[in-house]
Amino acid sequence: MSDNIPFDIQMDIMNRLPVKSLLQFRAVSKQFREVVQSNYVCVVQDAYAFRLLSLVLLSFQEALDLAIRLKALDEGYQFLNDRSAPERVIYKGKQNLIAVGMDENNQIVPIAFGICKGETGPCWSWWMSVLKECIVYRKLPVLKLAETYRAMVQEWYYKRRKLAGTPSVEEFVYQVDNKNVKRSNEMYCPRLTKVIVNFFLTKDQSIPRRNKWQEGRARSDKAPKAPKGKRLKATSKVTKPSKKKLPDQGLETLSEVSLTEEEQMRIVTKRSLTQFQVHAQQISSDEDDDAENKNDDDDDDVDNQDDDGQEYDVQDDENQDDDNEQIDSDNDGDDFVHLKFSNHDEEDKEEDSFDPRVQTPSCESTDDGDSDEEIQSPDTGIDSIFNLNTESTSLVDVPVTTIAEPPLLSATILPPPPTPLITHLQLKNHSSHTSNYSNLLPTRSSQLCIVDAYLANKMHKAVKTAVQLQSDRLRDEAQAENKDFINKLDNNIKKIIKDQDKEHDKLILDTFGDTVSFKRRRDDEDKDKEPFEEPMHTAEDLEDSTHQEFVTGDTKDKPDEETSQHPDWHPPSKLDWNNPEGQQYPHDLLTKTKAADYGHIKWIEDLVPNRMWSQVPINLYEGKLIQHTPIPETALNDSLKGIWMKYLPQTIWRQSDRDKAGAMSRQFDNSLRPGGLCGAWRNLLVGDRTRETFTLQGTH
Amino acid sequence: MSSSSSSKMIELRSSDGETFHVEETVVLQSETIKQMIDDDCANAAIPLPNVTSMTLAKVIEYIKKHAEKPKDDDDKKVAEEDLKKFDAEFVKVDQESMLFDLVRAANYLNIKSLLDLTCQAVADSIKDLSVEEVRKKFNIQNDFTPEEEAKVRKENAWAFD
Repeated sequence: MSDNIPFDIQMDIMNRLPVKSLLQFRAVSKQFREVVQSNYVCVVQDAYAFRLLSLVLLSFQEALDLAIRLKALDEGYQFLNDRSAPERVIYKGKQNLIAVGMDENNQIVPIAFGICKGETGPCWSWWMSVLKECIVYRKLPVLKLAETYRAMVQEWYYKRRKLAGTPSVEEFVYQVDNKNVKRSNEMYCPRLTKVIVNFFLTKDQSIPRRNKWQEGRARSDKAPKAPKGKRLKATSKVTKPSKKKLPDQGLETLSEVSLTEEEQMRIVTKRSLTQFQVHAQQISSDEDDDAENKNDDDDDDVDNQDDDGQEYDVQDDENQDDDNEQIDSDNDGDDFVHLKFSNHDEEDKEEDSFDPRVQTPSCESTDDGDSDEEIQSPDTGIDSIFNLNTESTSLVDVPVTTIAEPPLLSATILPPPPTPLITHLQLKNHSSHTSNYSNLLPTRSSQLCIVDAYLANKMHKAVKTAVQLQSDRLRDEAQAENKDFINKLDNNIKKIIKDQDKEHDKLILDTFGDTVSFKRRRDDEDKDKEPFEEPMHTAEDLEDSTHQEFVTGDTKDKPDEETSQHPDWHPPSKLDWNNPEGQQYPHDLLTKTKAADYGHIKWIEDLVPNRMWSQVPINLYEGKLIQHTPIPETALNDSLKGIWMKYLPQTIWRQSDRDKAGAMSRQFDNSLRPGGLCGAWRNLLVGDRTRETFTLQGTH
Repeated sequence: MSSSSSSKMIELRSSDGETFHVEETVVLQSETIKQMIDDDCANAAIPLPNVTSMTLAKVIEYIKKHAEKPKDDDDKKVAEEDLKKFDAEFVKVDQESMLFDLVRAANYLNIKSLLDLTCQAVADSIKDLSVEEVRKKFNIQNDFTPEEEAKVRKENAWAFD
């Protein structure tokens, strides 16, 4: 519109335009389109809001207008592109009653919606009465619904209850199966909300389950239930994209979104497993590391596993929506996957270790590991899919990713601080890992990361030289500390296992047994080949192999180190790191596990601020307020926030629904003829006015 | 100023310098002017820099008509009918620009009924136009690329017929 006319006046004029013209004029200019669409948003959100009510009360004129506008909205396009769109909008399941009209293109468009048991006589008569009621009592301009829906809803509820002779809402509203809800007045609205929710989610099995679960909670919580379930899904979807950022950031985001204790527990479990695995691996593969190195390795492995864990978590979230399993079982599944993975690795490793002398393969595998690492840990790349891919490759093609890493790491990070630079590096690694580990993640500035990365790069050379000098001494230390560390690890793992669920126990113990057997076997082999002074866990091969790898590292691995340095490296979180000796790890693990155990059944939403789940002040759900401020308000608010928009097209409509909708629409279409059901209905309602509505805007 | 006298005249000056004398009771329909009067700013002629004399004349015609108060119920019905007719005639302006001017004036003077009327008139005048006509009428540049426009039109194929 011309620049001279203020925007609000433009809006005013637009509001007065017939919908058809309005839609056409979107092609006039971008500004025009903006005006029109901003107009629509309000309207359509209202439409969704009304769909959230189990009964939508609109006059024919309003609803028809609204429906047409709805078709034009972006969201509506998804319906529109499919020619059966109007039907899809209006109908779902036999518990849904609709009033439809025809638009100027002879399309069936929704006028009002209702939910009832089915298309039975009483339901229809009730529905007619409702329609009549709404036509008689409501004359609200469509565009003002946003301001007035609240009053309308309240008014409507009062009226519903006052109306004698007409079936009550309870009678017709779809009863949610297995929901033990009292029929007290207090529960009236919550029930309705649930019904609505159920209506929209019947196709989505997960949400009812969640509702069921939540039912055990405080009564005052009942109202927001439905939205919660949905939103949970939404959040899980939100977290997924965040994974595409740096792993650290991803983790951060996750914790920001509020990492549930359950998830923490999962991660911790994984870590313990990883640790265990690493432990076994180190024993069996006879790698010679000192405790610090080991810790670093552990850290790195854990880190990778963390990423994996996150990925799994995401998947789990999705799965949780899909599955009807309990959290625990989910966890089990998760762990199970992980275990599989680790087992596989060990097997691969075993294969490798059959030829312990030949170290070049391990170097190659190290390379592979590096590349993997590059992809995984630093690069943030951990797009879940991508990660999956890498994982699968590690499973199938590249034999020993996890195994490969330790030597490399040991080469780079091993040295106990001979020079301040190295200490710094170690600090970084440690602290970053620990911070990841503890999930306490202070926010890290990416700038800091960059700077540190640069520093680390520069230090790298110094580190390399230091590595060579220190390696011998380190080996000695390592063997001593290694034993200690392993023992502690064993203890810790046992404790952790105790803390896990029974099923967890089984799985972990199984793996434990496996690895133990591996270890023993390997030990035997090693001893057979070359018994060494090392008594307990670490066979002499351990030292041997590490030594060889160091040598190779000098010659071959240097470029690898450089490349791997970045990937391996994580920005420090200054406060966390306090135990360079590496003993901190198991300790931390232990406490972490304990902490995690508190919250088996916690969901993400429990840890997220209330405002994320409910836009309505809590007090609305308490006491008598419930009656005066119907819960559909919540739903309306939600929908006004656009929360429903995402789900409606995806979850509700199936082919069968559309078929039904089509059939029903045709039935309506036929019955719209004079003398048909709707003809009588029309006369019953408002006579000529209805007719006028049906032929609204005519055809030109 | 004291508004006790119903015949108190308010002087309005349009953008082109022409002055109009209107009864205060009439001009009170304009929220903007009412505010000015309440703020004691209406001693001298009220300048209306956004309103031309032609437009202002129309507006004054409108508010004068709407200021008439029916004496009894019968009169009321008649007056309402009359007013409707008047409104219908009122917006039948020769030039399109006049309608827009009225819209702007009504907006500036904050006369709600007139704004409603004129906006509705504008809407009516453009509702049956094609996109191209609307562009022409409002002097709007088509800032869509051809592809974008095609997309928009495709989205609304059913509306374009």
